[in-house]
Amino acid sequence: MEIPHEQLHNITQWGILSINKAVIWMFVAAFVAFVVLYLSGKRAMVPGRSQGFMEMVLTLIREKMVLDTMGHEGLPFFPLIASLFFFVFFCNIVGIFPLGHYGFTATSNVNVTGTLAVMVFVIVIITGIRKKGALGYLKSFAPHGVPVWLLPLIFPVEVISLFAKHFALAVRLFANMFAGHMVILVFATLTATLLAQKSLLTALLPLPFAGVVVMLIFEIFVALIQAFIFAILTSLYIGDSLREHH
Amino acid sequence: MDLTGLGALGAGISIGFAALGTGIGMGYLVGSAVESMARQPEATGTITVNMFIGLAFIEALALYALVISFIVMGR
Repeated sequence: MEIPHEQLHNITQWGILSINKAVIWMFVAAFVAFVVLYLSGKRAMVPGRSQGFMEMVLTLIREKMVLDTMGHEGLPFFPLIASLFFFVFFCNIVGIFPLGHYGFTATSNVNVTGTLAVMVFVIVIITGIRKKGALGYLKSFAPHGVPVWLLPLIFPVEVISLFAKHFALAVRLFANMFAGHMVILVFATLTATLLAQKSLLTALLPLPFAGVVVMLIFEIFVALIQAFIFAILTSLYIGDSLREHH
Repeated sequence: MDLTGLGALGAGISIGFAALGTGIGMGYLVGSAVESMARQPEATGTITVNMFIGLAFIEALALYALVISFIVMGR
């Protein structure tokens, strides 16, 4: 895959660690998230417009994501879920700005989403072991009410599904952001090609340009939805390892 | 026999069929979610959240095919 807009352009490199476009845009996203949360987190007695909005968002995360999927046991995880939501959302949203080859969506690189998913995976396993003990957590892979002769079949399937869930968590975010940007790139390239033509075909210019506009609006929606889905699936998986199995 | 380019063909076919099945599944899911929202408007919030979770799970199936088509395309 050789796509110029997706190249990372390493600035410095120490061994396997390097600072590149994705790292810089992750810092930008974290900084923007910090500024937005700081400015709207004045804690006034009578909330203003921005504080009211942020309180609404945080209440939504607390009620709909954390309490509905994990119950009161899951409240210690509320900061994690909210941080994941805001980080992924701002990573997605700062990448939408068309800045030539300087612009980049950190979440459209599979290494970034893979790191987030591995982090969630480790948290899920540690939570399960702390809640049920190592043996109890292993036992939760074999659901109750399953005949004994079926266990050798069920147990590997459950273990594989644990890995597949987190693999899908990484690939979902990566593929959604990557595919959306590819579609915008295709429309934009078509627009540029038609603009360079000196023939009657230039009359078709508004069609791909409208495609760019519509896809950009859709990408803002997708950025929000994917951040929401990443956060709510994380809380669902943590809730799974907190709960006593069926 | 020259087989270059068959990888691209396989990648296109795999993601196409995956999108076909996933589209049918998503259609059923969203259709019944909207139907139940129309029958019981006060449950809209819960249904929407659960619908998005279900959409994410269905979407994962197409994404597996996308990953496989990325792998196949390089061959």
